Amino acid sequence: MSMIKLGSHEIELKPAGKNLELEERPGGWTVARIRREDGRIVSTRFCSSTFKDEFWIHLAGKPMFGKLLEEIGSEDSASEDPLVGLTAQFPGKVRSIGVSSGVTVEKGRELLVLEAMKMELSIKAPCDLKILKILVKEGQQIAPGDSYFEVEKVEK
Amino acid sequence: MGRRKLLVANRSEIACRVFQTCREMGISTVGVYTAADRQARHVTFADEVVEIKSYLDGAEIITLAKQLGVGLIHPGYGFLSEQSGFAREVEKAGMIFVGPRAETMDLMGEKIQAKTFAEKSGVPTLPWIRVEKGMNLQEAVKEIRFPLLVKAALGGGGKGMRKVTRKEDLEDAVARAYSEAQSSFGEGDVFIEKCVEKPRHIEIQIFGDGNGDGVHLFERECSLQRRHQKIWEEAPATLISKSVREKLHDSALKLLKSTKYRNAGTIEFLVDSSGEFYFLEMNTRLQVEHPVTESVTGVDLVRAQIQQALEPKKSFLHEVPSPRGHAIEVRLYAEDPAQGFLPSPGKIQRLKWPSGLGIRVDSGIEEGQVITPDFDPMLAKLIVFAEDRERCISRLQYALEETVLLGVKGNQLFLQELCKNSKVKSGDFYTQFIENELMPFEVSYSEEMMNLVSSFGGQIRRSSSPIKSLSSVPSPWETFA
Repeated sequence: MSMIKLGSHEIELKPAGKNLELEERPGGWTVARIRREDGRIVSTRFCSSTFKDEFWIHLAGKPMFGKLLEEIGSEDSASEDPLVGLTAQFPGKVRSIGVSSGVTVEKGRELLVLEAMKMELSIKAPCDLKILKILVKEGQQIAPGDSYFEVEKVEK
Repeated sequence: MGRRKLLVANRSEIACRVFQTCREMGISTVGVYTAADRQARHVTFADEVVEIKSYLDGAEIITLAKQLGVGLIHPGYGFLSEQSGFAREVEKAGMIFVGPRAETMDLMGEKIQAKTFAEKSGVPTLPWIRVEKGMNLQEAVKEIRFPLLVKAALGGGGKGMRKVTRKEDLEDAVARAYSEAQSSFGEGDVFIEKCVEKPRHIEIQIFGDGNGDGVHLFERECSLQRRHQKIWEEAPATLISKSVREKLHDSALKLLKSTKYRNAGTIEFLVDSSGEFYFLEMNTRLQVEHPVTESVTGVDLVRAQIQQALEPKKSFLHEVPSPRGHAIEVRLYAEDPAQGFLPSPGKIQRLKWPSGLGIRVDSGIEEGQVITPDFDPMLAKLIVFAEDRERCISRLQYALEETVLLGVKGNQLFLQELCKNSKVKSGDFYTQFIENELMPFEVSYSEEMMNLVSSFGGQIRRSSSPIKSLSSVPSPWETFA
C-alpha cells in the first residue's frame, strides 16, 4: 500500500473507486468527477507531478507537497531523529560557526549561521550535545545531505 | 546605433519587464547573467546575452556594454541600481544611465543627509538625533521619547535597525548598532529616531525631468510586509483621508523639486493612525511594485524612463491620468510557509500562470528551471486590477488559485490567507501586522482535501503512464447506469 506524508498527516493512496471519474485534459489538467453518496456529482480539477519521492499536486486552487513514504522507507524513521537538523536540508553557504569542537552545548544554542537566497538562517542545537568535530568551514558551499558536525548526544 | 540598444544590468523578472518595453519601442536588448544563473528566464528573452562574473561588477558590465555597442544601461532594482559610482562610470563611458543623477543617489543614499535635506525642503520627518561620540544618550533622547529606533545611516531593509522600548536598553542598543553598521556597511554612523507604533507604509511615485519640474503618480500602500520585506502592495492607499493623501503628494513634489529629481523615483512615508506622516526615505530607482502604479494610471513607467533618458530636454508626462480602479501586487517567493518561510530552492516541475481580465504576471521563471539558492527568493509578481478594492481582492484570490507552481515550495497559500483575512479586507493593517497577528503561520488542509488527494493520489502514483482519457475507457458511471 502506498502512503504519502503531507505535513504531519500520513495519507493512504487508494485505488480509484467506482465513484470517481478522472479525465485527462489538455494542458496537464485532470478533471475529477466524484459521485457523492446522495448521487450528486461534484467536479474539481488538479495538476500534479511526481519527482523522485516528491509528490506535488495543485488541487482546488491550493498547492500541496508530499513525500511518498514507500520510497523513503527506512529514512523515514531517521527523520524522527532530532539530529537530522544538523544535516543540510537545502543548498546554501556557511556564514559563521558559533562553536568550537570539544564543547558541550545546551539545546537551543546557535551553532551555525547559514546563508541561502540572501537570507540568514540560524542552526540551533536540537538537544543537549557535545561537538566532536566541525565538518564545515566558514564560507563553504553546502549541498543537501551535508553534515555540519560530528556530535554526540548528552544525556542529563 | 547605440541609442537603439539597451543593456539591463539586472536579472530575472525586472530584466524581462524592461525587455518588453524595449521591444515595443524598437530598441534591441542585451541581457547579462552569471554562471550560476544561466537558467534564468531573462537569458532566453534578451536579444543578446553576455556572461559576467557578478551582477555587482559594474566595471565589467560597462566594458562589455561598450564592446557590444550599447547606448543605454537600465539598472533595474537592487544590485547596482543605487550605486552612484556605477551611474557615473556609465556616463563617463559615453552611455546613458536610465535613472536619476549620481548626486541625487549620493544625497539620498545616506539616511542622515536625506533626513536633513527633507527637513530643509519642508517635508515632515520623525524627531531624531545623530549619535555623537561621548554624548549623554539619555539626555539626548528626552525630547524624542520611547519607544525609539536606533538605525544605521547606511542601513536598509531592516539591517542595522533595532527598537528600544526601555531606557536601560538604550546604551547597549546603540553600541550594537554601531558594530553592526561597521561590519555591514563599513561605516558606523548611527542615529536615533522616534518609533511610530503601528504605522502604515505609503509611498509616492514621482517622475522628474532633472530640472526641478516633474509629476507625482499618486501613492502606493505597502504596509503588508514580512521581516521588512514587502509582499503585498496596492494603489490607491486604503483608509487615508483625501487631505492626507494630497499632503503626501505635495510633500513628494517638494522633494522632487528641491532635489531636481531626474527620472523615476519613490518617496516613502510612514503614516500614523492620526494621519500624521513622516519622510522615511527616497528610493532612487524603479521599484519592484511599480506595476501597481502602471495599472491604476495606465502609464508605462519603463517607457517614460527610457524616453526621458533619450530626450532629456523634452518635457513629458505632464498629463498624468487620474487613477482609476484598484490594483494589488503580490510577490511570489520561493519560501515555504509550512516551515517558517524557509527558502525553498528546487526545480520547477510544473508552471501555469493565470490569465484573463485584470491579471498581469511579471515572471522571472519557466517550467523546468532550477531555482538556485544564490539569489533573492522572489520568483514573480502577480498584479491584478479591478474597479474597486473588494473586487480586486476577489480577483487576486482567483489569480492565486489559478497559479500552478509545483516543484518549489512557494508562499501562494499564505497570500491566499491574506485575501481571506478580515482585517486585510477592510484595509485595517500596519507594517508589523503580519508579524504580530499572523505569525506563526500554519498550513492546514481540510479533511475533504486530504480525502481527495487520497483518492486521486492512487491514480497518479500508479500512472507512470498517463491517466487514460475517459473517452476511450467506459466510465464507471456508465456501468452503473
